[in-house]
Amino acid sequence: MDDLLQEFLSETAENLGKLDRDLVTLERNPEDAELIRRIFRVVHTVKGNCGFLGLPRLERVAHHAENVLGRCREGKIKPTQATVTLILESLDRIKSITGGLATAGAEPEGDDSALIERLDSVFNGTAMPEKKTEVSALAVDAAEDAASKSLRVRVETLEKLMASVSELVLARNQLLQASRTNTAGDIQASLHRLSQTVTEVQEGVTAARLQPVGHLFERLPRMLRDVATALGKKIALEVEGAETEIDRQMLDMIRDPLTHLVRNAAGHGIEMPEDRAAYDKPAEGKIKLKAWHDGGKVVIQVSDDGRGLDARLIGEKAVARGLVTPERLREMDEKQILQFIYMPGFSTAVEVTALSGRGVGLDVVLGNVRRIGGTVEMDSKPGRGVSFTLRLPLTLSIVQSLVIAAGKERYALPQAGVREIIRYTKKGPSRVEDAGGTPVLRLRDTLLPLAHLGRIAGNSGGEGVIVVLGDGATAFGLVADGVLGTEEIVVKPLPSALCHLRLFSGSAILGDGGVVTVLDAGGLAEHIGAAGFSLAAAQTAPKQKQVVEDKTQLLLFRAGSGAACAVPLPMVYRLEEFDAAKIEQAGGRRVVQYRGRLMPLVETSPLKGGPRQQVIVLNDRDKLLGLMVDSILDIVEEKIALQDAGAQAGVLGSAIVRGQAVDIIDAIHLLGAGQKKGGVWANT
Amino acid sequence: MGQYLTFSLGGRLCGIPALSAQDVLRGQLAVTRVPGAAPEVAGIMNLRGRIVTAVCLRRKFGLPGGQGMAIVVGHGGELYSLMVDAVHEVLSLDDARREEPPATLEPLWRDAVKSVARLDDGLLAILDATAMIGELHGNGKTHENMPDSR
Repeated sequence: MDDLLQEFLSETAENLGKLDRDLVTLERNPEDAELIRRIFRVVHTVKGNCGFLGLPRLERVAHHAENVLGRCREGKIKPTQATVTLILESLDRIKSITGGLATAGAEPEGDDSALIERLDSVFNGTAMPEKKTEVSALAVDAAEDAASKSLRVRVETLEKLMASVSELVLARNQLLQASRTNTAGDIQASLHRLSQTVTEVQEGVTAARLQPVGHLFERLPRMLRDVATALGKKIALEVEGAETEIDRQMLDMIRDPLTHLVRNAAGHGIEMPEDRAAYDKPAEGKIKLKAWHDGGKVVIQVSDDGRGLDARLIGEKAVARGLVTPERLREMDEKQILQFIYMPGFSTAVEVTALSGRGVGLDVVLGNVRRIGGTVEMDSKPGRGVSFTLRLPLTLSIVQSLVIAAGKERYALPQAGVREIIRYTKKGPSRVEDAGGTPVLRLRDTLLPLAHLGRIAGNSGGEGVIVVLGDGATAFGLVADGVLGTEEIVVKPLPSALCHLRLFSGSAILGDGGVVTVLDAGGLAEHIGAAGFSLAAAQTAPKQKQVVEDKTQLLLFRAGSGAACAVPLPMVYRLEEFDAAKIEQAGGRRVVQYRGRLMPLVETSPLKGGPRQQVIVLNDRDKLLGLMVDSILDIVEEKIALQDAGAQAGVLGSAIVRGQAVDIIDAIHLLGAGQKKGGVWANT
Repeated sequence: MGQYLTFSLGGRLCGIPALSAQDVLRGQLAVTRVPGAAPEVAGIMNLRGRIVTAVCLRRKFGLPGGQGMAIVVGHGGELYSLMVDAVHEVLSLDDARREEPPATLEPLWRDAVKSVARLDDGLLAILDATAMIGELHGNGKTHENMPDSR
């Protein structure tokens, strides 16, 4: 379909969406002259465009509807309910034709002569008694009143104004910096005045650019209706907080992500009416758009009451797409698995097979929102629905940032993604721990991967503070020397020779005239591999890698008659010895009471058995698993070369340790499998 | 006749077309290093409120030592600060004195040197600033459409 037609379709859809509402209003206020004029204009535009694009059927319907509206505008016909119904009917016809146009690229076949005849009879006054309608003076007054309260400003003018305000802010910051060394009273006073003015101008201009977020919602009902009709679904759209205001530029940036999310909810989230009945849900699905202000941010939430996300299907899809190995998948919890929907291209695969769906271009949604300093949170309840919550800054131009130090260098970090700042310490409830040679942050009860700014930047930066960044799924800590302060910065794009660097989202000039690069949380997360799978990356990747490369600490043990085995030491939580009688059977597997709960036990090969059972307790986050062994042999630190990797589930491979072939146990696999069901690897 | 702004770089005399030079910067330049950037990109700097890319020509040509001055040139709507040892003068040069660069030119220099001119006291290598900057953008991947980094 060519661009022109595409544009016509989207524009017409947008206009018609507004018209529906306007016509309903007109029915209630038939005297509203301004409203009639507006409706007339829109239909007139549609007609004009049809003629231009060579769409005769559409043009004919629009033309005859316009005739009737023309009469209404002249006051010759009163827009009665019957007339409005007829106009609405015409609009529906136009919608159905444009709908066909959108799918087929050409006007669908059809006969509109009956409709046109009825329109003409109204136009000619044969069906309606002609009544002279006086345009009420009150209505005109109200219209004029409204016009004087609002003002059309060229976007370009506003853009320029915004740029100079940005510079003003910069100048103020520079002055503030200078004033710290010069305390003359008058400088202080004028500085104070300047500072106040700048703040006012900034607020004024920002306010001038604000537009209700409802503008974005306008064409969604129509789109939703299309999707629902096409799929035979029933969907109601509920809008809350449409009056919430957001920067015009921001509005443009989130238009596509929002449309994506709503289309996804309609296409994949909401089930067919008959399927909904099975879940005791009303046949009509509900998509809710909610917007509100929250602490200097605009929050937009898209939620549906559909089927929710199916972690199992998503996991299977991810394996099929080669994004993850089945072994690795088994180690992931539901939340981590759901993150796959953000992987580029992931959605398309799901789409094609028409499985649980969801995620058409979610990577794009996430990317777009992050690019403008926003975050996306997802919450899914199987069978109950999904909600996506977008948190966006009010404006793009001026960003409140932390200035952080690494070595002798400074970096700006937008505060939007900063959750908290903590001291770098190896003690206390929030501390840095060693996970197989890789430092991770234990933040209360979660483990987060760490990015070391000094190391990333390749300077001498050390460990002073940890800035915790990101949203739920992709949280991580950024280690830096310290926080120097906060500053409002005007983010400028990096020069083109550097704009390929994903670590930075731009550059900025600080109050003291120095230049800094602006760190990009998403880029940092990518850098440490935290994007999407924070914990999996922090916990499994470094350890597994360590087994394969570098020197590895291994716990050697003998299990049954088999050869010696080894397990990476970092995975070992404790070595325990249990009374054999204490080992119970539960749900077809062996368990033992350990630290107030039941810990599953597995054996690597048949054991000799005895009154006491040696157990290696493995742990990964909150999971515990006991590995039953005959005897502990030794702890070795050696560089190992893995062979026969992946030949057997539960075994990473074999290696020569101290001149002896040793099976290296895949503890992570065992932990994952051990939690799920009794049918664990082993009994060979 | 062409006019060339001459400068020295690791003991060699170089020049660029004088018209392409927008400014000459002297004194200590505050350059902010950008991790991950190409080795010859020294970083970014504040040039009267504009953020410009600082390119270290010595590093580009594999010469040791630091910089003293910089020449500001424009390319693709952006400014670049080319860091050199010292900027000398604007030299008028008869086109007839310009020759093809010798085939024995070191590989690092080959793409950058457009021509050489024989002066009384030695050779002047005339550099192609555009080609040098273009190289920063990788294999022909220029970012002409990037917004002006004002």
